Amino acid sequence: MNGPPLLTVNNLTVHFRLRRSLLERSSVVVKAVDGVGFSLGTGESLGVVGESGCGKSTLGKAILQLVPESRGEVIWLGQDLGTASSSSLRMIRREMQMIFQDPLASLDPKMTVERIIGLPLRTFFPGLSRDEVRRKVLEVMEEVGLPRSVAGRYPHQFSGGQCQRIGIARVLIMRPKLIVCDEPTSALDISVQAQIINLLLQLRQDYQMSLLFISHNLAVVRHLCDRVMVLYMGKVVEIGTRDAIFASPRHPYTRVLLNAAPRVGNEARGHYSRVSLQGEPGSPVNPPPGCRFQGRCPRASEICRKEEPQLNGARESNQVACHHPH
Amino acid sequence: MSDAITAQLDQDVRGISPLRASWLRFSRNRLAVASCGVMALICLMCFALPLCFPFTGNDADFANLSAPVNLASIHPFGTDDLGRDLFLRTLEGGRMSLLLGFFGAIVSVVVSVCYGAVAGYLGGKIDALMMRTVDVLLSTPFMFLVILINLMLGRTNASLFLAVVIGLWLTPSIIARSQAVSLRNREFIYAARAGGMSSAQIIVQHVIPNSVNVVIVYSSLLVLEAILTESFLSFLGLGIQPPNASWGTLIAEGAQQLESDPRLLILPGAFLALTLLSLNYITDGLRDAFDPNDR
Repeated sequence: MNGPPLLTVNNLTVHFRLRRSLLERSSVVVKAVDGVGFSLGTGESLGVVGESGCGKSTLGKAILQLVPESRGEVIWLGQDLGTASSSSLRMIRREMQMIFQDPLASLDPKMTVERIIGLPLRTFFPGLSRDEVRRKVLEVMEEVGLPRSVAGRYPHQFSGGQCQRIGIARVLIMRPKLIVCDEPTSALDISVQAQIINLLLQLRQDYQMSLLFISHNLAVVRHLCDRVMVLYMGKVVEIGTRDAIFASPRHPYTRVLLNAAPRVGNEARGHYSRVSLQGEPGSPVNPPPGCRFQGRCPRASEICRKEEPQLNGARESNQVACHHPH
Repeated sequence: MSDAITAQLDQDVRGISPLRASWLRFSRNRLAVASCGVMALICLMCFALPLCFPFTGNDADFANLSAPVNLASIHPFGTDDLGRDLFLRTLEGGRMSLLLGFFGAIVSVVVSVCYGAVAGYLGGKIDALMMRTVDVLLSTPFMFLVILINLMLGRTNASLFLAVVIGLWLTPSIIARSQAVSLRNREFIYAARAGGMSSAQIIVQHVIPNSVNVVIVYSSLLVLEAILTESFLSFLGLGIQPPNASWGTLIAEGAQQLESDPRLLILPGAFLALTLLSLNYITDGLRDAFDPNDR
């Protein structure tokens, strides 16, 4: 990584307050994201993995300032988005865009494809003429592999993969520097997944875009990402380069996660033993003291129940938050 | 270059918009389409036919007081005790009722959808304040509001119109608001916000268009309710003032002379009943066509 990072996240925290009832004053706090920090360089792609409900999607939305409850710093090219005025936030939003998990739900059912894709452009450049917008829309449609003839159709007339292409086209038309991909392939068929992943890879090469790739599909992350961040219950448990994480994971949870992914052939006789997890992750409402993973961890000891482990930067390629790393 | 693209696009198969799909479903419903025909006929009669008469509904014909029904005469359905042509008066009254009904419904829908969309999308304290206002208005007796408006604005057609709208916009605004609340957390709204749109832009371009099909079904019911409300207020003497007529006032007059001359009640009553019946069938057809559960 050279030069200042494109995006730096410090101590990002999203706590949702749930009020039990109208009369009860006391409220329950759900710690969806709890003190997450990382940085992302230009052209770099970071994979965010973890099981369902660990705060991956919330993290993505919080970075784009779509979650009003978020606290902490999100620094975009030296500017803190939390304190940015709404007009400068608008300008920055041109450069960071998001692709969503459910391709159909992310498209307005009342709009034609042409209108959906052109909308960000018309929002940011109201002066553009209709023909200019149309020309750009058709250009970008071609780029993501949508035939021109479908420009007048409505989202419900498309398959999931095509809807995701529309979503990508809408993002791409702004030529953003960062795309947050919130499980863009999890709702798609395997064959279509591959097409979408290859499309993202291609675009990343062509435009030097950074990706924050949120997924629970480890194979996809391995294929697409330079670095990997593992989340567990709203906390970063391990972050490192792809090779380091996949070759020698240090956190017990990462090991379990990698083990759970199916493998084929020689790889199947893995070099680490098969462990599967017992039980459910604890509730994010009342996390236990100490390490959040202790209840399910095969290596848990006394200190894990008392003291919360911090990310340690002993090795640059692979940081881990664990008292007993591998 | 751009012209060629435009031409090509227009040549290609255009998609079927959700609105057009609903319209196609509606057009297959024969009863609803027939009711539309009846409504069109009633409107045509009320608005065009009075122009063919050499006198107006307020002109008294002293030579023919309380003339009986005689289809061959100049007063086909007779006159009332002041010599006014009954058929013509009914048509002119219908003009008033229909105008108030349709415009009252349209204004109510527009107001309620915008109000509900703003409250539902913004949420929080603004939502609470806006919806509590609706609750307060809903729990205030309607007649009390109407009398208040009459006191403030006088008994004009404008105050009647206002009363109709105030009586009608509340319930659809609650419907529109709940739709907006459910839209707020949809992913395409997140996408719009990530795409830099302001709240106002999102409400106008995303929330309102997606709330309309929920309210559109209810809105056809509103036409019916507006006509009924107008008739009801006019019947009580709070609406259209004599000598002008609406179906409500005509029915009120007719009801007083029910024993001596039932025609006075039957003619405007039949028109009102036919209109309401057709509107009912149209509403049914619209609901079948737009109901999202049907798909």
